[in-house]
Amino acid sequence: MTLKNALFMPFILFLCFYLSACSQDDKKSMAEPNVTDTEIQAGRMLISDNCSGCHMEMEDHTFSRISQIRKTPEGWDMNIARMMIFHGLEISSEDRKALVKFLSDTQGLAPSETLAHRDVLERKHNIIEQGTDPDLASMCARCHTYARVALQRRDKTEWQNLVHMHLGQWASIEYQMLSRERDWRADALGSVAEKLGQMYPLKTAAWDEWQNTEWKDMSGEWRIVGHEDGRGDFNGTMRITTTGNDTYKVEYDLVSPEGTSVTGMGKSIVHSGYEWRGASELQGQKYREIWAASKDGNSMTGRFFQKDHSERGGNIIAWRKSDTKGIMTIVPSSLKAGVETEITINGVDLSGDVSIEGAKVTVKSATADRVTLTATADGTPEGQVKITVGNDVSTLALYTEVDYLKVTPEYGISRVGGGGGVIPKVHAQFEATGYSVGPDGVQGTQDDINLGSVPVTWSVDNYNEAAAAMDDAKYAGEITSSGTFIPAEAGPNKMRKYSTNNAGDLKVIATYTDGDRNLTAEAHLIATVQRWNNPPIM
Amino acid sequence: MKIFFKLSFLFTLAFLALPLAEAKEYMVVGARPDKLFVIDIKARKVEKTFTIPDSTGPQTIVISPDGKTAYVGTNHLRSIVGIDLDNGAVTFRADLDYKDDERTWNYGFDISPDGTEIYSYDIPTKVYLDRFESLEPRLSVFKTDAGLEAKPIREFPMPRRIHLLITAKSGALYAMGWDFYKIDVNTGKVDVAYPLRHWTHENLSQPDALAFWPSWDNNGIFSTPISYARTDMAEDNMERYRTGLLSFDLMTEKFDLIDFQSAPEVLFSSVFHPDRKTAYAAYNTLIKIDLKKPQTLKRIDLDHTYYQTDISQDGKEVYVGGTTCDIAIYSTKDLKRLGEVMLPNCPDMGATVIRMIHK
Amino acid sequence: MKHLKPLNKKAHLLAGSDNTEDVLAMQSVAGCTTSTDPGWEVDPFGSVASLCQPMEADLYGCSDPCWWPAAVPDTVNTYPDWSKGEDTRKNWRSLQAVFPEE
Repeated sequence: MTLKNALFMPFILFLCFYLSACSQDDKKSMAEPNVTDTEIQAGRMLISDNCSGCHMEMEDHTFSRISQIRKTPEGWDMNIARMMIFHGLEISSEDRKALVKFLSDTQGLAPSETLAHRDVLERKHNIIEQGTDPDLASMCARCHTYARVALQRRDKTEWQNLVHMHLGQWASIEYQMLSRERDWRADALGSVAEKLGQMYPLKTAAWDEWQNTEWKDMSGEWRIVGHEDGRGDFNGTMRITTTGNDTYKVEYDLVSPEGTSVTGMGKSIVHSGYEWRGASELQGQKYREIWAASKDGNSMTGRFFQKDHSERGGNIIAWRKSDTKGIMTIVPSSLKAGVETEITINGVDLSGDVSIEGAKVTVKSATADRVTLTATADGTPEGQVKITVGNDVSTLALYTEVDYLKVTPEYGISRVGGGGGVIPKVHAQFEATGYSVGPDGVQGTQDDINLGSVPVTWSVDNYNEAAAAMDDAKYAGEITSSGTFIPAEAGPNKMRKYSTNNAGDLKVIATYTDGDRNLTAEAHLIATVQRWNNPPIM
Repeated sequence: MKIFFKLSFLFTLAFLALPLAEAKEYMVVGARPDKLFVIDIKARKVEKTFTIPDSTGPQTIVISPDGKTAYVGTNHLRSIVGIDLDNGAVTFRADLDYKDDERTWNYGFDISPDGTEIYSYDIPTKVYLDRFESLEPRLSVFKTDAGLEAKPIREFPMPRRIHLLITAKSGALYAMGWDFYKIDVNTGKVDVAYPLRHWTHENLSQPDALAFWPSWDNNGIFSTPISYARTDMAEDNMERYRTGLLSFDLMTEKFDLIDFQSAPEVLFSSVFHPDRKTAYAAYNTLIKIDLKKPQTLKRIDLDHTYYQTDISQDGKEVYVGGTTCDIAIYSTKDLKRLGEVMLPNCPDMGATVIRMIHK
Repeated sequence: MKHLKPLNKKAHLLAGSDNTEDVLAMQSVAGCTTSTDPGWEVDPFGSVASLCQPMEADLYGCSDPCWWPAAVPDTVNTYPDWSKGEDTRKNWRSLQAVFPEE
């Protein structure tokens, strides 16, 4: 420190103290523009009260093993849970929530840092993680998701501390397949920690920039559209009202996929300036929401799911009505030539003439939120065409025939549950999407046209001869008319060879019928056993 | 004369039979959370039930050479407890985390042929207030007469990832890990006795075997299923993926590898017949293997998964155990079901092992 | 021989292949273990027939030596009291989920 700095520092410290002590309107912190000094003081006090028995507080107010890490809200919550389980931390529910909030706001992840792993954060079921580093995948993702790692930021030493924790807590880690072939400890502490420190370091420009971006208040009137897997598209509005400290009350007014009115209430909190975590109840069903707000705070995207069945849910897009305009969704997203079809256009601030290229349109009703019309296409052109409302433009797929189907997910997992045990069944939801082969008439080429969800009948069968020999299809569960596979009950089944569980190796078959034409497509379903460890980030 | 001959013949028979009659065969198994059972296996009867103090699921079991004491690995893999097999008295206890602020995982132990020393392989971690530090594994040597607060008399650093210790009849200590090591219990010197990770078999990939189960009590030979690939075969050829048996003779200290089938099934453990002409391996199936051919002779489905395979001294019965609360018994000849022993109150054996003793 | 797919991959790994695409192709649903020895959700053959049968037979053989700690609570260090019961075939119903929501 230079003499000048040495003289200057006390002045700065005094100024800070003076400002924070005298301030009436709770100044924003200099280091954390979106967090007030009072909040920082309270947060440090929380850590001191709950954590300083083990985590040393340094002169600069940092805490050992805490201040060197950044995580998502779920990551911090799992961290606190781990302290409870491993080290007997006793913490009130209020303090736990407050700590998650404080740590996510001051040591969170920027939107761009969570982008590649939102599927796992949103608890999306039956996804296969893409774009993972193969080295890290075999080191880390053989037990838990790759996202659990990639949604943390640490420097090399802290990554090494995490490796030491794994070795101390689960020494079998060196013995399991995909680790026993290698010198796991040397690799993990060496090249892997090095790589993690480079790929996911503590300090990043993205987080600095996000901390210096103004985090927006989410209050206002919002338009929301979404798709519930296996059920269909819905739309509506939500009124978001602030309840202080980044918490909100939400009133929903929705139109269900079946066209009925659904209203409900919710509460939410926003962490790290954009991580919306909500809890709501609609028609007696409790839901959870994991959404992310855009940088300008005018839109949100994410997933909602049933509180007790996180595998069941769907995706939403929400737009703030005061600051957006345009078409959000077209339902359905395709139009068959020669068939008069009712189409709904959802959006914000819609007005003006409605047209669809290559189709006759009759508007039945029109508001700023929603236009309902009937349309008939004559068969030319085929493919994606323009649909316009005034100056707002979107696309709609015109087709003459569904040429083939795809079932998603192509490979899925369900789990037995219930049967007197406390672990609920984990369902698997399948959807069938129709495709047109496009102008070239060849399946699987660039010009194929996605026609959206098509109505199909669902069935399951044994995946192969081994499954047939075990009669898996008979025991493993049933699929509903909406493509939900409901697994059978947990526990040994005396009726089966080995008294084995109601597990099974199945194919899920979708059949689309158009006149006397039947199209089928298949997916692979492993109906397997339950798990007892179900943290928010798997 | 005739009568005398007959009498003397009978006397000889009786004399011959005497040691056999005295050395009766028993099976020793553990069960969750704290049970040790001594089973008269031929009578299909649990003869003794002992309670292990401070126990969770017992795992490794080692019997003293005189058959009097069972040393049981328990207390969350952190302690070895010696139980007198006559009266259940606790005669020995070594807590393996004997240094300050550490926790350990035991990955196997065995006893010297003279019964005076126990060798324990442990992985320590130093526990600080706010962090862990993973340390190098070590071999700790305890005196079996050290009582209930045994402390190590010698301690040596060891390679990582060892999962089974075997004391040969000579007293040499062997350990299975990345390779099969021979360990000098007085100096801690470690040599590769049989390379696995570093083997140089032509056209064979690195092998994979994770053996926890001692099956050498009645045949003098350790064996385990081992899998590897024939790198000279096409990847879509299922014959490429092989299952073999790796064995180690506790008397001659010789290793052997036989290849007996492609890899159509999961096998956890194996046991050689005392005549060493056949072997048996189990998991969801029980198979009989011709060691001379070598090939799989017969395969049956079991009632459920079992981890360990063992055999009677007379070679007539093969036993499968571990997992739940029953030991299933099959004929070594044709794998016909001969019976079972149910543990009282049906406690799970979990990852405990079977030992065969004679006393 | 599609049903032998993941075992192929395993042997492939063991054979020292540096083809990372193949390693990546050992796809599994996020959160499921890819250590198929013998696997918790999926067995080495990409199915369920070679998992422990029934799973309850294997449950404590997994929890006590900590074999699938991300799915089955390990009783060595983390959840020592998770399975006080002795007989899984009877008491599996009382086994609790371990993540503390509150």
